[in-house]
Amino acid sequence: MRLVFSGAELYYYCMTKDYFETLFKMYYTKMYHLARTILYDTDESKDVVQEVFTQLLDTKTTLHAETIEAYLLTSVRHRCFSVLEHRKITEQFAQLYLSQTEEPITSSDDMERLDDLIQYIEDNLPPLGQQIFRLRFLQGMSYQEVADAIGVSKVTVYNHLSQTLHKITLYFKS
Amino acid sequence: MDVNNKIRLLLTLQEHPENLTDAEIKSLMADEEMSALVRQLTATKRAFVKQSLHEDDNLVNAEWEKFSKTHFAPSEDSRRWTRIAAIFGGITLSTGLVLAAILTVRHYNASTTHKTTTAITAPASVSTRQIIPADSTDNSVVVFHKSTLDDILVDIAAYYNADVEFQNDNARHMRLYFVWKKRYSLEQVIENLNNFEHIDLQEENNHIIVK
Repeated sequence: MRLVFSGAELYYYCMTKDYFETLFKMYYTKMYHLARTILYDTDESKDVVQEVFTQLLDTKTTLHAETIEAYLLTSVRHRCFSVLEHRKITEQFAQLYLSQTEEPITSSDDMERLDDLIQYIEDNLPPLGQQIFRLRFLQGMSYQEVADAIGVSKVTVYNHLSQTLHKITLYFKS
Repeated sequence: MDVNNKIRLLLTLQEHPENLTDAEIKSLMADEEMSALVRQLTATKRAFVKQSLHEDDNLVNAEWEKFSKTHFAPSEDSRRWTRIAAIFGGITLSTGLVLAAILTVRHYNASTTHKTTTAITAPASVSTRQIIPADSTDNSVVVFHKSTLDDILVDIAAYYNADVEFQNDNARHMRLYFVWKKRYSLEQVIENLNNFEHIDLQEENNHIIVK
């Protein structure tokens, strides 16, 4: 047996079930939320996170504790993109999946940017405009269905969405 | 075409995207302003999705159940353990403690929280050993933090009425983070310790040999 010491700062951790459960429960929510904001679909997002943890369990790599969160989030991001790559372009456009041309940024920066955008939306868009956006783009309703659902005309729905997009372009300009 | 017209075009195209071909979308996205608009619309959708998300313990627990069923044997002394050596610097030392803390708090009653907190604030250079009491003695758990293998084995041997022989003297000073559940048999504990890299223990008739 050979012992390897690196000063006094080398410790050995063992990936027992208990320890793994702690890791899993500690990072699950962050990982799942990241997957949801890329894939949107709940089942696909759950699958991606399960796969990343499986990969972590099987890995023979030495992991450094200080980078484990970044490692897990980056893995989620990569797996989501590989799911997206198999989609047809028309489907990507229809679902507004994250564009592949997006500049590479770290996952935590990405999440922070979304939080900033949420804040801007809450401060600058009328509640009706927000509701219309959700119904159209999150619930996948047609413009007519949105109009029927909230009892306004199709033109109003259209105008609200134009307004929303216009304000978003201003946000990205600043 | 100004931006407002492009916004209108984009919204119109979004009404029936299934009518578009890949080539049409590609040529549309070749326009820098249009492609920026799509990216911004995507970011907006993502922001709305993120806004709708919240922590859901039930989901996390259910997913953990699913995961552990597939990857760990039903009993806790699973054979399918992965050896992972992690290098912890001074700062991340507390991460390890927090992990230990969460682990113990999750598994045992609230009265243990205080002890756990004490361990978190303990100076990093100090070896700690906390005993988390449970309802019966057999269920108590000892968390060794930064303890030497020597110290750990002395405690464990005493509990199981065993003795320890160090054939490898260097191993005495190896420092470990180790969770010892007293309800485990000596054999199981030795097996757990052998999962650490660079540890080779043998046990026979309550005689522990460190190789």
